[in-house]
Amino acid sequence: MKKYLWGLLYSLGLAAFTVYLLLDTFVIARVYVPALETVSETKVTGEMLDIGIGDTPETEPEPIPTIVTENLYVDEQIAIEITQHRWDNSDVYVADILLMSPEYLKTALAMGAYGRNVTQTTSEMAEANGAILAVNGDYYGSRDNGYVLRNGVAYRAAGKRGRDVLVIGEDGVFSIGQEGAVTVKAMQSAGARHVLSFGPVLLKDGEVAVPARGLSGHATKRNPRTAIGMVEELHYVFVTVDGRTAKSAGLTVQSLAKFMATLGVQTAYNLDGGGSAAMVFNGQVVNRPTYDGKVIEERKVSDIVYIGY
Amino acid sequence: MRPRAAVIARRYLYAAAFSLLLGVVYTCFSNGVYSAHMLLAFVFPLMGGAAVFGVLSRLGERAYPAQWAERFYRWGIAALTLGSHVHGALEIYGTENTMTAWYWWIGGLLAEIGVAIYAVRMLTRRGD
Repeated sequence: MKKYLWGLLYSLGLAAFTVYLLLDTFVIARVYVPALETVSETKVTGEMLDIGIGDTPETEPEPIPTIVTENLYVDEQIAIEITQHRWDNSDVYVADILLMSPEYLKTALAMGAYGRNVTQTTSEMAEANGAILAVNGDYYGSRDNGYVLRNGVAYRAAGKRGRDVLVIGEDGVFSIGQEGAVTVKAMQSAGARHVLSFGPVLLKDGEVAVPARGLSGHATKRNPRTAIGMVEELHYVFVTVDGRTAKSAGLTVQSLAKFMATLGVQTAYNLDGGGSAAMVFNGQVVNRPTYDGKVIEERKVSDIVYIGY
Repeated sequence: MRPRAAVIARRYLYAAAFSLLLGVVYTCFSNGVYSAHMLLAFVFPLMGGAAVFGVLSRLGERAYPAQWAERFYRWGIAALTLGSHVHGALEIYGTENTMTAWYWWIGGLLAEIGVAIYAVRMLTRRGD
């Protein structure tokens, strides 16, 4: 018995460590404090939104009644239209968004807190934040690194050298930054309001920008997807793709990039996909989120990108 | 009676086969996502275990490591193999945890300690 004692103790230690690691990864909720201080908000100015309804610049514009249907939302500040497309053997949902001001493009954290395993479904976060439209974000909580800057607050400064991030400025303009090359503090100081770290970049200047090499297995296989893009200033698209089902195989990031290009998007960025991919419009889940292709249900994630007041 | 090293080598061969099977089966159910850590975890028991102890079995009983050298070495291989599977599983799920690095550090360290004890013992024995 004594002969096996050390081996038994070591095995128990190794097993206990593995259980703790798995609990730390998937279960134990930890709330962290922001890495850096908040940058003071700057005033933003909106531009007239061309939604094709009573656009009369010479005279006082008539108030636009709020229109809410199954796939349309229009008021004086925000216009959103949801359309469904078929692309590369997959169902793709596109939210075409026009805003009067970039302040309506927002992000939110699950439970309003930054941390690991602090999660909610996209629809729970959408409801909690009064979102008209929401998609899942970059699920920053599933990783130990990757810049996290939301609504002007920098939460995580640790990045993975060379990873492209989506920078959304206070003016609502999308640009691509790189972790390691520019610090999150520098991005914050330069006027970044949100930084999302997942990738890869899908489109730059309207051209497919998916790197030919170095992509993860997730990126090169057909999977459910979420992506966001900017067509022009204050004109955005949120896209989700169903996948892993007989009806909808899902897209590779390359195929998704090509689809985004057909929408006239200039800058597009891939967010967390797979079981996380979800789009919620007026409280209803638009796509069919699934992890295994059998059970249709939303996964709890760390964050959302949304449109709302 | 079989040399002890040959018995251990055979056990490692079974462990490597199980590790390979686990990696392949896990990958089959991972929605087309694969991880080299998951698929190649079997290399640790195969090369670090079966091959090493296979060679030792050819060298005779005198070449067999002392108890603590063997323990440390085998604990190291166990940590590296398990760590590779855990790292691969997280990779396939699309998440990560910096604590997986502990498997590499601890596993590598233990295996090195085992090798060091073995080397010192063999060298001092030659000097006898």
